[in-house]
Amino acid sequence: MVVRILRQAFILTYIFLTMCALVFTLSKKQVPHIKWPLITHFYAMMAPFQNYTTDNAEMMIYGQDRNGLWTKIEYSEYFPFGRGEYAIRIRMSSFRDKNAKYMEIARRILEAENAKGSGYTSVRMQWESWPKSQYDFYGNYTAEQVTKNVMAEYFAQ
Amino acid sequence: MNIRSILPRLKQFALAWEHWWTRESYPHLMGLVRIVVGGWLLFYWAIRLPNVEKLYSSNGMTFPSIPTYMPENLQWILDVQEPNVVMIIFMIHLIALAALTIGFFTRTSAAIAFVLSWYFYYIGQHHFHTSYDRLYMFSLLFLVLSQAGEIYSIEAWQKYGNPLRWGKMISIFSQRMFAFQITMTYLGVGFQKLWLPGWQGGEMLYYSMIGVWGTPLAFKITSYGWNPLYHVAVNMIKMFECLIPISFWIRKDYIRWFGMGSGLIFHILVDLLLYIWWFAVLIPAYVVFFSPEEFYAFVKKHKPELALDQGEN
Repeated sequence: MVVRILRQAFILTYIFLTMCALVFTLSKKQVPHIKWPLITHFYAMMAPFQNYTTDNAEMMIYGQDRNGLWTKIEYSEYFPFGRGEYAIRIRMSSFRDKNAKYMEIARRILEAENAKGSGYTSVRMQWESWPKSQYDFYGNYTAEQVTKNVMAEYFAQ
Repeated sequence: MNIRSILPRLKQFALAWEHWWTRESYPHLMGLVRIVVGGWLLFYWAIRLPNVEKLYSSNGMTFPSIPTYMPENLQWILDVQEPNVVMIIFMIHLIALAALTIGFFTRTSAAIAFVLSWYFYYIGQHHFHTSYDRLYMFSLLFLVLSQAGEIYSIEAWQKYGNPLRWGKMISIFSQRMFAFQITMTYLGVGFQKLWLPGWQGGEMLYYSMIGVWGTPLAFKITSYGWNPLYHVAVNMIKMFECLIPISFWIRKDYIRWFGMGSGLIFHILVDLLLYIWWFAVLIPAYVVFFSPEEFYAFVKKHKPELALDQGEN
């Protein structure tokens, strides 16, 4: 009997939370008095790919040496993912203060690079965006078309 | 209408509800679901093995996210650990998933894998905050609540002398939970597209194919330029995604087969054009839309060696 009651409680709770998530998915309105952390997992199971952009963007990482020369550091060394997964992960959307995270990432990369003998004086993280191309992801990645937005730069102490 | 006429109907409804959600039936279908889900998750996590240090340890770019529901005195659980500690935890996770797949201490294995999936989610996976990571976690929870180790498992081998024998009927509860969640996922994903601004034209598909997820095949297709057929394709996606979850439940006139075929084509196209292969597990998971009795009868007829009689414990 206890198992039957628990099962039914589980089913009804699950259905209720899923319906709350469906209401939010379809109307972008939350069911009153139901806290978001209860809904978030259920909402996220039904809400991928909602929008698109006409620009591509990537968080680029650069190291600067003593001569002031900037060298691109491949992200895959520190973020072992495909381009899409990296693009989403590096947004740090779980955190309000993203810049603090970017500064910490820059610090860790600087230390790791210099431990390998790169001799960087600073590491910079910057979002770069450019219009999408029908031929290639980097098809329109040209000096004229790229917009740069520095998020963090960490200097060697 | 008086209350005396309502009560029997309510009772009838409650019985039908309970029968639909929890009746006992053959364990074969859930045995297969366990192997598919367990095997898929084992693969999904195992390919991360070479990068565990970078992904989840203090040597990587690891920034845990503390869930708001977590009491402060328990938050140490999500402290980032040293690489060797993380590797041990990760190996336990893989072993639990392997044990789940082969049906060895099935429920315990599923429970361990569920807890560790939760752990790794908040340690490192939360950055990706994807639908499928959450689906995977709930799948493990459903397997914890199931008796999916009753057949096609080491447990069945130990109990009945043959992994293809089985002892008792199991509750359909977990199968229904899988089916319900898959239905709701498609419903939400599909119906929101009817009025999401981004989904009102073929541009959604075109620009997605030339974005971060685009495969070489996608770029090959887009290299021919914009075409109004993208509008048609987006409308077909919307139509499929809205109709698929409903069709799964309609047994009449092969409608569910049409839905599953559409789903198959849809997911294959997604996998060919976008690097988002993680939803492909939904294709074999469609089996949960068949009843356990149907599945048992099918196996008994076409592969009788996979549906031996009940064994003695």
